[in-house]
Amino acid sequence: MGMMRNHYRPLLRSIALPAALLLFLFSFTVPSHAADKTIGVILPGDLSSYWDIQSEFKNNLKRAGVGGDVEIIIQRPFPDPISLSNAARKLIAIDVNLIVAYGTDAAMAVIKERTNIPLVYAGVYEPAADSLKHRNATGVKANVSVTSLIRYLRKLNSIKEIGVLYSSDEEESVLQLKEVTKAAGQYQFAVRPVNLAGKKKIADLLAGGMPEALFVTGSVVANIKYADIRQQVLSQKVLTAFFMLGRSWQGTLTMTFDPEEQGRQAADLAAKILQGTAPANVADVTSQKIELIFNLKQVTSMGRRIPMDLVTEATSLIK
Amino acid sequence: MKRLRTIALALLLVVFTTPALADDAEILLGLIPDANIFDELIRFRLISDYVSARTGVPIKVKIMSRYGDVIDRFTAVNMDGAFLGAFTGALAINRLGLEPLVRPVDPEGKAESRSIIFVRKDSGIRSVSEMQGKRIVFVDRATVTGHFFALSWIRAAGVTDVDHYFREQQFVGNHDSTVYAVLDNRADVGTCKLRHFNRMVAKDPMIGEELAIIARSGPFPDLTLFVRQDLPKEIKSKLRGGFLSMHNESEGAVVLGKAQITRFDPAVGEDYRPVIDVVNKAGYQIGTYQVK
Repeated sequence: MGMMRNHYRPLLRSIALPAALLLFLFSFTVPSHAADKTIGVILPGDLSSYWDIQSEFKNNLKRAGVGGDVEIIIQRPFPDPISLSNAARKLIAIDVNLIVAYGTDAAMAVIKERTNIPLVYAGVYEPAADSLKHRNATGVKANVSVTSLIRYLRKLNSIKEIGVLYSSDEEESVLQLKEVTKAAGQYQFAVRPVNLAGKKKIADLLAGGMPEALFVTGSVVANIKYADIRQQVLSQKVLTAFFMLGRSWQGTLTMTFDPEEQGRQAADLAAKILQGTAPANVADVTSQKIELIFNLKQVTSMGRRIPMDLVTEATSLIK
Repeated sequence: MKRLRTIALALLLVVFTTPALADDAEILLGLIPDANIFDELIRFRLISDYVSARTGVPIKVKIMSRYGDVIDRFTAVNMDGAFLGAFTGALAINRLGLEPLVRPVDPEGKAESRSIIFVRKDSGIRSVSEMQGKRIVFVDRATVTGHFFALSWIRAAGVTDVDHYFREQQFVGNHDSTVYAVLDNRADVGTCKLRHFNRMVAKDPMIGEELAIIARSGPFPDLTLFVRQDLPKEIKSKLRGGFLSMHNESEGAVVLGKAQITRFDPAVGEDYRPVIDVVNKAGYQIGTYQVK
């Protein structure tokens, strides 16, 4: 008997541990009632720009043709590879009907799990979207131009050095850093990459002194950590350019996609899939609206000249 | 008493409607927002101030808010003349009988303008068939180089319903903005005046790296000073002489240099034949085209 117990112990352990984990997960995430459809959402960093897409996505599901009771389960992981992967696994374990992931890295985390659950992504930088080509995935991309934002930034001042806030953990931001570096060669300015991956503190990384201007890539971590240096940036009159991630009202300039349009488009794609079309037969889309937000108030308070080109081209002015 | 009132009213009408100008009356010239309106206003105020001083004819330059404003402005604000582009010039001849007077010649010795159609190099668009369902950006409905040439080119490729061929048509009001719209991916296809495009590329060569020109037009008359036909001959003559002689005067040459103009050349109505042709090819008639 004792021998038998010893023989089965490893087997029992291998079944019991995952079962306990699943029970634990289910106790927190399983909807209290049975919905017709369940959509799992990965919203990294709890970022407001992703919430803007999500809100429009949710509001447009019915219009897009998703009928019945829809349960939406939202995961808000920190944007590091392990947390994103855990968020994907949780939604797969719940066996949702569809996963919606915001940003390239969240979408990639789902694809890496090799699940059969369809994926709709949104808020993805178009040059990074090639890595998301998969039979179970489709989504909404945004073709925002790094060079355009640099060009507008340079209209404010002939900048000699730009600090680039990025994260080596986030593919999109690495691509954007490369684009800034390419533009630097043409426009003759130096690039100071500031890698915010991991637990590095932004203030420590910039302790040596602020550059003349900061380019905040579409890195979720950079957008979160920027808050720690915001006062310093304003007091030192550093020009800031925010790229991709929503309508930042804190930067001098922001170039981004229209989150409402992305949400509506993602809802259209989700509806097609939930109505039975295979994701492979639902073509991804590029959002059409690009916004340029110019913080006139900030530039005026810095005592800088206001370039009329920027006033003319901006889609929104902060006065 | 009633007769006196009638006479007074008649006198008032004569005073306010007569085309003649008193010796010290100010000449009001309109300027279309061809590129950045602030830069344009500075350029043409420099020139008009100089001509005013030389000829003794006071000139005031005023920006017209939109290209199509020329017709309305002339009748509403009693303008005496305007610097007009190719289409607005043809329109002004046709509808108001305005007279072309002089035309600036650019630093390359050209007094003509050409239109281009351009896309982002990385868009993959190279022909009209690849533009279906895309977004196109024009300057204004009332411009040859920023609207009608592109329409005629698209129609020549067999597209009859341009309005439904594109997902979206934008009118951004000036030539520079069409370039920025395509650079920023706010539009897929753009059209503008070649000179503006070249000026922007000269300032920022990256623009030339990012955009590809896929069509070019023949020459059209460029910005031209028009005056109303009933302006006194003496005033017209003074203005024409003042502009045409600027480059021969040392101070005048400096002012022209600042405005990036080599000299002014005489202009005639026959210069506008290519404009009328391209408008017809775009499917419209100058005489009946609704600007608004």
